[in-house]
Amino acid sequence: MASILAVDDSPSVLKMVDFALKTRGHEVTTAVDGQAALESLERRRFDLLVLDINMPRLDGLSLLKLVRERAEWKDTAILMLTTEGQDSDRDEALALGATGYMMKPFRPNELLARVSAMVSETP
Amino acid sequence: MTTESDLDAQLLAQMREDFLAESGDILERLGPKLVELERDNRRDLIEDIFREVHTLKGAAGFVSLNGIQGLAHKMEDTLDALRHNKIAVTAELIDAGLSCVDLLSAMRDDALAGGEGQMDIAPLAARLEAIQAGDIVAPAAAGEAARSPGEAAGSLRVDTATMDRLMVEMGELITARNALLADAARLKDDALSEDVTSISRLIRQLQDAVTSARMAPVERLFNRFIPVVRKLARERGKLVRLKIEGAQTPMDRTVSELLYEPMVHLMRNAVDHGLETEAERERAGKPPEGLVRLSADRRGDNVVLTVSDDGAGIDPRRVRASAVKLGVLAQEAADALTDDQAVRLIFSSGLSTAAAVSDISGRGVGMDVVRQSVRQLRGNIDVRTELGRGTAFTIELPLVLAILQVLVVRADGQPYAIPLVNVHETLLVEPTAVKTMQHGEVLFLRGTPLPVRDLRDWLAAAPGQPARETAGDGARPAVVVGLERGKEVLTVDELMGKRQVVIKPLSDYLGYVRGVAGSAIMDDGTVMMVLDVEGLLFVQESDLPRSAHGGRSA
Repeated sequence: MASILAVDDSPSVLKMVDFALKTRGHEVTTAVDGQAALESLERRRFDLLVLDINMPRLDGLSLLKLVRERAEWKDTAILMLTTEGQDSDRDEALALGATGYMMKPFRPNELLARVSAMVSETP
Repeated sequence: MTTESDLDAQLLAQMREDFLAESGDILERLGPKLVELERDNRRDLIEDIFREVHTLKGAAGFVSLNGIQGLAHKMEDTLDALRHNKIAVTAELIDAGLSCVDLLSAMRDDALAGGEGQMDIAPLAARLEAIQAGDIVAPAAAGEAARSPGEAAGSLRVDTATMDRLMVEMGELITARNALLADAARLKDDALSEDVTSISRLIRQLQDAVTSARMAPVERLFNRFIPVVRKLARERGKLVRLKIEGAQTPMDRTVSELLYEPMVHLMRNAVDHGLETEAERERAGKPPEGLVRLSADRRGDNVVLTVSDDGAGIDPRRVRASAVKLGVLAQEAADALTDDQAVRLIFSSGLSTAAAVSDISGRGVGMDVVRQSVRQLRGNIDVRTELGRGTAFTIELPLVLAILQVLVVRADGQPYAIPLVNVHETLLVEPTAVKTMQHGEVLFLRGTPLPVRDLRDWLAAAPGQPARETAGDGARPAVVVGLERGKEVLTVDELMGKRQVVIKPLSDYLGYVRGVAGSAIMDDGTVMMVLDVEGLLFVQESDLPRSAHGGRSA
């Protein structure tokens, strides 16, 4: 069980991620873009961020950078969601300190497997 | 493990539904944004369009709509080339982009109808690749990234069918309340009357809430015309500017949907026939670019939509001449018309033939159909025109509308609508099958005696109408209606079939008229009353013997 912030500008993807994670008892908060995610981060602590890259207002890479620059958020695990053809974005995300990435589309169970591996590593 | 694959299947099936709603919104926004990009080549707009297409592609992949995913991917590639100034914004690029939106929408429609949303995307993909291979260096786009805010938070998507149902149930609730009102009046019980009054107030509030939930800014409808007008202008080789005003005016969603077709017609007429060619405009001392104005405004309980152009206007003399030539009017009748009346002839079906096209600048084509569509929504359409200055069509519609399934019947030559929820079955009643019992006439239906009443009796009981003398001979069609106190048989002159009608409540100052739930418009434009069967048959009972109308009707 972990507290997770899921961020994606696609409502259907976000809802699916939200539902999938909740079936495993995770506590999930959702945000529709980086700016909304930042506001959630300011309010409370999360174990894991599931983060889309291309979003309005504040994109995933910019948010990732902000998170890694803040001492209190430095240890938060971050799973980036990428799509085919976004190789340079993916590499940049890893260079900026993302914990891992997943290529869309994925099956809900693949996401659950990745998430449980990532949160168990987090102290 | 089965549970795992079940979870996948379940979540992805749910996601497909969500995706279909989400993609509809994206596609609706994309057309207008592409047209805007052609006029205003802004960096942030390119980024915005790119992101929309990217989101569409990403989400489509999850739900295995490979056609949509594939074409969105191709579009994304082209937009990426645009982002990196490898290609420029050209009319060809925008054309191709709009064609993509059309094909994506068609694939989405197919998926929505239960198909796999798979269509041939190869020709469009090839067009996009050709554009990308153009290798034109674009001038750097001006303007800095002023990102648009995300979608409004706290909103919920409800499909129109659900909203329609909510409205129908609301109507049923009102019908039931009316029966209660009637009971309270009959029983003369103060406590009951008070309770009914407070329930009425709550229903009124609920009705307001349901009505406002049906409302959405007319913007969605208007935005659909942006690509349409651009396409028409390009086809006709005219310069056209579309100006939109009052896009935030709220309107019933279903009405918005039903207005699309007739309004496309008005837009097409404006671009095709209303606006002159560039050369003609210059000769007339007008700016080369024609203006089509689309506006919405709230006027009391009505919404007024206007489609206007600054074109040549309609010549009343030519309309008169066409009307005479086509045999719609005699010469003297045509001459007797004022100019305004003559111009309104374009709404008559006789002038809506292809033969009239050249004579009156094609203004008549399909205008009768437009008027018919507007009337079905209980609206009015009118036209004002000034030679050399332009033409304006105004559509005025009531704000509050509801959709209801009804059975249309005829009695004394008039159509009446009975809400389908009240209808159990229809049958033919032989006069010999009707028996006279102590409390009136009954019909034995499968062994059960049911009271029989003639709808014409109720009509005769209405104020100012003489009572009917005798019932007609021979078998009469009848409707078995379900009431709170049981089934009853209502005989009529003719059963005209099931319809979905838009019902409008009687105006507030008329208040509650017993037996009438509201009015609706028939396909041919005539108005019919929608019956409140519960209230109607209560009147019947209290009015026996059927001489004059019931005294307390308010």
